[in-house]
Amino acid sequence: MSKLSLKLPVLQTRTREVMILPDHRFFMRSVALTDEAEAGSVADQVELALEGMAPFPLSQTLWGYWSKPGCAHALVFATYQKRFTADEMEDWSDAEWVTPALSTLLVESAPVPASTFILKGEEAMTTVHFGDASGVPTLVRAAAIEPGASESEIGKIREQLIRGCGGSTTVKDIDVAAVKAGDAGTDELIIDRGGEEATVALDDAQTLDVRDHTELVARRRARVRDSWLWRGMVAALVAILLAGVAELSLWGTSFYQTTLSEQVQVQSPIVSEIETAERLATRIEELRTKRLRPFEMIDIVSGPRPDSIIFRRTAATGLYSMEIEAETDDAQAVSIFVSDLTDLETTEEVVPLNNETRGSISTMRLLVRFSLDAFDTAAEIEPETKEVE
Amino acid sequence: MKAWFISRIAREKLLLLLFVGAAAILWITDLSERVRMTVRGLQETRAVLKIQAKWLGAKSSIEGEAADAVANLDSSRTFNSLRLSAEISTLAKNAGIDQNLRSEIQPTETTAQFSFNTVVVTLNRVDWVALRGFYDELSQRAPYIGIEQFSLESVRNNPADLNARLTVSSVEISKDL
Repeated sequence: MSKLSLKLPVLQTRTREVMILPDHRFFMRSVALTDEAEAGSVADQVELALEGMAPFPLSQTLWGYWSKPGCAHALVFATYQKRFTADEMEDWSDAEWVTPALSTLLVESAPVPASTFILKGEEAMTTVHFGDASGVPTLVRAAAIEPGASESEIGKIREQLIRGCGGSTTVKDIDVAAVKAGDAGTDELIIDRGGEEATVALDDAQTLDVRDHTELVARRRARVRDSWLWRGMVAALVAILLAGVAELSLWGTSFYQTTLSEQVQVQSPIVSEIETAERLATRIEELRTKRLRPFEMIDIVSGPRPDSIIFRRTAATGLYSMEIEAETDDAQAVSIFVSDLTDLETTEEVVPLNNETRGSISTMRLLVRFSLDAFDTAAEIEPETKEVE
Repeated sequence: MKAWFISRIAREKLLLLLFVGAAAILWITDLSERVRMTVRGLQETRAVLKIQAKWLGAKSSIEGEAADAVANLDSSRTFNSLRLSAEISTLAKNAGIDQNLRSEIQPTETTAQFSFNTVVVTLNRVDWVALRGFYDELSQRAPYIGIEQFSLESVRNNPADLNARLTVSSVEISKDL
């Protein structure tokens, strides 16, 4: 399946290239730097220096530089754009890094002062001399090696280059390292020197890239944009993954709820029976021990009733409460009646609910609450008990 | 995956992100609503179960209370709905207001131990004395018969005539007890 997938072009990852150029096609100089606050950024100072040094317009120059924070000089390398043919430059636009071979040495850690490295490639030999401990070469010399040159000729070139450096305490011969771009998105370069791999961030090595600097800035922005797009993609994928997990949990929860609902359904008739039993037991208990006594209530509220008040409606609203609707043609009688009702020992509270007057007729609605000992319960008829066999 | 995504051209990356992002948003929106409903449903079901557990836990004590409630009652003197209705008619006849009587049997509520019968009684245009006599006789049947609701109103054009409405209940003990 994976083999089949990889054959589909859309699923293939684009190959990422690094272009290593021969050193001898560049002129290389060490340029003194001043304080950035006064003279501008290192790139500006290098550009200014190149304008003075380069025999051709800077717009037609391929250039790069190398310096480190706090270092008082920078190594600048440049070449006329037309020294490279269109065929040679064809793949540069898609490449991750385009730089002279010596750059593979520069991105590594700083050597001890007065060290000289002989960098031997197929087309050229380069000496890189570190006169101080800054990690930035103070002198670089490169010479082309003719195809078919003998060992003795190569040896002579080597001697001349070492002499050109002068003052070297250690000389080390190394081959040009193989450089490949890391996986897309890692934004790193992998430098392979004799089987030992070291990684360098593309951003850190960008000043060594000789392509148009505006284009490099755009590429850097694209990398940042791609990084955010990838983060967004990861966030969306994580959200989908979490939604999937939540969907599974929801499925499990729904299953659990179905089980609970079935349990509710099974228990419902039993619970309903218990509820009915409880309700009816309470009502039977009330039937047995507490009778609703509407006529006794009417007897009590009729006691203080003035003749002018006529009850229109009475309703027992509880074992000890009654609502009365009455009317009268004597408005003064209402307050007297309420007052007299309230004063009775058998009433606990008299609440006027409504009082309306139309012409000479006043209509009132009262809620009377009786005290618990209002009725003569001693006269309660006890039920006959079942005979115990 | 990351290498594959980064190596796409910008337009493809953007479209992929929009597509996957939209899918994630749509799914999560739909899911959140379903989660909310499921959680609410689960909470409600649990609450019902809790209440049911309470009732089930109280089953024996409620059955005990029910048994106590009917313990002092003579099952032969209890009334089913038909007997209750007939008894009310007899009492009304004794009070001379049987012509003014209308009764309506309500559905019986039943448990394993007893039944609870209810009759709604309406007495139209009766006088106070006859109605009081009916009430006094009815009260004699307590606790086998009881009044649950009562309302009384006078007829507008003749206050001496009264319309009474009573909800009368009786308990009927199961013969098995």
